Amino acid sequence: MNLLPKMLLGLSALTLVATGAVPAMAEYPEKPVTIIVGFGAGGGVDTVSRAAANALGESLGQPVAIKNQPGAGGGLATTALKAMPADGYNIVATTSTTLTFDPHTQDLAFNVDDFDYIAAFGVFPEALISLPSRGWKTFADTVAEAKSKGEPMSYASTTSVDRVVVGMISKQEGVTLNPTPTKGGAEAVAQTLGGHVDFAYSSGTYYAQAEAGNLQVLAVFGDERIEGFPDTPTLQELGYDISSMNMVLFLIPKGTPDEVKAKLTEAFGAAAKDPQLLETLKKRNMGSFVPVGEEISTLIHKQSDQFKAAVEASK
Amino acid sequence: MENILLGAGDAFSLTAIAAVFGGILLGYIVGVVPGLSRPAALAVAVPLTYYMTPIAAIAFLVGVTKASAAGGATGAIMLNTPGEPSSAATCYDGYPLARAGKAAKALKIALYSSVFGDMVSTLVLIALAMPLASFALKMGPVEMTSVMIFALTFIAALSGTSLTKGLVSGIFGILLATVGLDPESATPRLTFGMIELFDGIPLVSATVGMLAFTEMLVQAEAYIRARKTGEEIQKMELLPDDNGVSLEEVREVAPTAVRSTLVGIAAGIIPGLGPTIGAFLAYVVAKKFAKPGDRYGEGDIKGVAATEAADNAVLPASFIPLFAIGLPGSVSAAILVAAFMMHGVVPGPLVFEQHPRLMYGIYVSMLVASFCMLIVGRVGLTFFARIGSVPAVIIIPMVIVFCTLGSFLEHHAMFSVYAMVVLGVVGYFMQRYGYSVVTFLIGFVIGPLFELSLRQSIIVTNHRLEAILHHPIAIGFLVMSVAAAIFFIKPAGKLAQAQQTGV
Amino acid sequence: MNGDIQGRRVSRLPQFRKALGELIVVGGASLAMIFWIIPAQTSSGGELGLSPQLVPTVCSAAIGLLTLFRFISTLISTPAPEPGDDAPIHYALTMIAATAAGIAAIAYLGWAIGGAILALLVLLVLGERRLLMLSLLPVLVAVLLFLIQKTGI
Repeated sequence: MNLLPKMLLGLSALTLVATGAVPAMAEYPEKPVTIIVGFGAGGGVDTVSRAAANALGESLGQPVAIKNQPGAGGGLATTALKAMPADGYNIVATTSTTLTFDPHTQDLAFNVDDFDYIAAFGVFPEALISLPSRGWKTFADTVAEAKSKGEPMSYASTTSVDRVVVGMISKQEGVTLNPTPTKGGAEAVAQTLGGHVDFAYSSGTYYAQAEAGNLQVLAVFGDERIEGFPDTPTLQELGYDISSMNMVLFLIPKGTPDEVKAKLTEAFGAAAKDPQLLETLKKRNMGSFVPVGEEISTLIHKQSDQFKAAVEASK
Repeated sequence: MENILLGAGDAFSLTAIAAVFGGILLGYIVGVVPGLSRPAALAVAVPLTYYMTPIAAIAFLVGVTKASAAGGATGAIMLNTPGEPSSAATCYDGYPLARAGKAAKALKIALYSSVFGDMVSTLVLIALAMPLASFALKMGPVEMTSVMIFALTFIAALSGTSLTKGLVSGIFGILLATVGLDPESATPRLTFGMIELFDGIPLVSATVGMLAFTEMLVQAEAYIRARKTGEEIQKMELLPDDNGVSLEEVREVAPTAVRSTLVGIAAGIIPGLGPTIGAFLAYVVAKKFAKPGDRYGEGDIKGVAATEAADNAVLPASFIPLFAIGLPGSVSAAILVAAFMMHGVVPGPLVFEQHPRLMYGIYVSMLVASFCMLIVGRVGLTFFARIGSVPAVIIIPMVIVFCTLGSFLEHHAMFSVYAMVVLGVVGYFMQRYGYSVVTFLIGFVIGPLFELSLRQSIIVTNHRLEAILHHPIAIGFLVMSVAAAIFFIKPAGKLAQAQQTGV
Repeated sequence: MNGDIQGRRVSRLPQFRKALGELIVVGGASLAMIFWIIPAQTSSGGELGLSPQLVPTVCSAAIGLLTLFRFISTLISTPAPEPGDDAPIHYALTMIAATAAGIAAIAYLGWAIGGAILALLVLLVLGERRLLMLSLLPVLVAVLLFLIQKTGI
């Protein structure tokens, strides 16, 4: 199994030769750094990580290789990272909810305290959506209709995060909003477009359809409104005490030496200003929120506590 | 019009052609080699496309998917080991043909049917994407449940002489497919605490293990026995005079190929069914249209044409909902979404307005890919038809090595390799006691889709069974399922009787 | 060829034995699934759609019942002999052992060396003793896997 990184570094090793090999240094990093993406090639986490890799490689002075290890919503790569040496040569990129949410609902071998957090690039534009023909402008209208009709509504769900968030809302409002599990964002959007469910949660697939006017964006999960849909309120603005920010998070095992951590933080800080990365985030409608170092560490622990409370409340 | 021409110009540019050709070549190799399969190829190919122009990237991936489907027949015909699960049904008639010395004929029929199905389906995609896509949206949970029930009745049809054994292995497939996170409650099911199993038993491990590794165990066993008893090990030499495809044979196969292409297109548009199920459906349909004198299962060229035309028709058709409304109809289509997104193109209702040149370029590339497939396949088959004379002692170790590598590649995890071996052993014992691994696979593929859509239906209809009356499409499929079940079980019984009495 | 009656007497017992064996193995497994494995390995109930346990339990029960049904029909009438594999089991078992050992080698020694060991073991089990083959094929596999690694796949 220890051969895998070597296999994947084949390409980057060639790049290294081509760029004229940096002289060997005694300090970190003296060999290429690997980012293990917890999702498949081509997805949001993968694209953002690859966009950042170039800039990271430049400021670290060593090539940064990308390796995909999809599985269990990023959980597989995260579990594997926990067992790796805390030397800064292995970084996992995954969605932040893999750390802030999943350990509260699943029996996992890791939790939020097992890692150090270096940076998070971009926020997924998670939202609730419906057909425009339902006549709802915001999610408040949806809740109002559910109340006045007194019948249960069904919505297409993709993750357990949205189940907990919507579950909290329905408890608070005294309505029944039944989650219908789907295989992913595309199916959730298709079920909404086909009128098979009343509304849906989507983490980004809806964007093109909403832009074309085929879908109405009812509410935003995060702290800020989404670019392109300035009239859609956040859940907090609608009076619910929850926000779900799902970001592309970069983490290393706890116990990594401070000077290595400082180096990495510096490199990610530089990458955060890289035009290529910002362009990628913009194209995927992931905003420009790129916290690094202490800022992201605090945010992740805060989110974890918040989700813990929400999960308890929804039980 | 201008955009169409510009797009066509892009598609005929050197880089785009090279990308298509490279994709076809990679896909074809992966398709031919048992053990290496499409998901593994795409896992390797997607990162490469980051460095290509958008049209080259898409054309490359289209080439990989198309050619792996076409190449999958080679292993099925020559080694009784499908290169892709979607070619599993090609073994039924392809391998007997090869044993009879007609390998090249079978390979040609497979290639021409593949290209035919692919091309017709691509043209349907270009001409009718919009109207057909709106049909895909009508398929909600209730409709999908009835489609799955319809597809499951085909397990009965493929069970052969022993219906109960066929059902047992099909249900066993459904059972193993429940391993992983429960879709509704997100709690682990039968994972025994292993996080590697949270996403279920890897599909590649199941298909490679059960289809390729199992068959290698069976062939190794036969080889060792032959060696011990001093039997002559039978080689498959090509008959010199019966390996072309005559005009008459084309006429004989044509109706089957057309029917299968239609089945494949339908299976492509309905999200989730995919090429494996599409090919099996087409084979069963072809068998049911059999005329007296047809020898399905013993080496009928129509059987090869049926599965291959459908297999290849599924792919372009699964792009219909993707290009028209931005929703992928299959795993391969979902990979294309990723490729589009990497290049800043968001597939969706506006994609033809925003990127007309690119989209028309892709259409043209898809047709170019069909031609490349024909050429690569035609050149390749003269070579691959000789596999039959390669001794088993070389084939078996090589295929086992490729099974190992192929199951590793998709997730880059040794766990998938271990799972492959375990499932291969399970498959061997199933086969030894007469339980079909093919019906197992159908259950394994359809099971999770069926369970999910059933649970979705229960939620969206609020546990009211009568709600189905509002779903005419679902009623249609249910009626068809009942009809199909009666139709399949009866003649199968008769056939078994006929065989028993020795007629 | 023996007479018809005698032939039947001889052939019926193994059929019965085989069916009984199947009933014990498959039926036992399905009972174990229903009463032990599924309850231990899934969380139960409280769902909107179906309980996570429902589909696995129904499948296990169906497999058990179908096997019982097969056994009973064996008792009632002599079933037609079914296609099956009657080679000695140890051929396949040694093959499986060779593959498992080869894969362990890959896990510990990497793809090139492990792959060569895998190929070598499989060749030996197949009864290959020609030195040329035993050296050539593993080397070929090693080179191939090494090249695949080098391309970064």
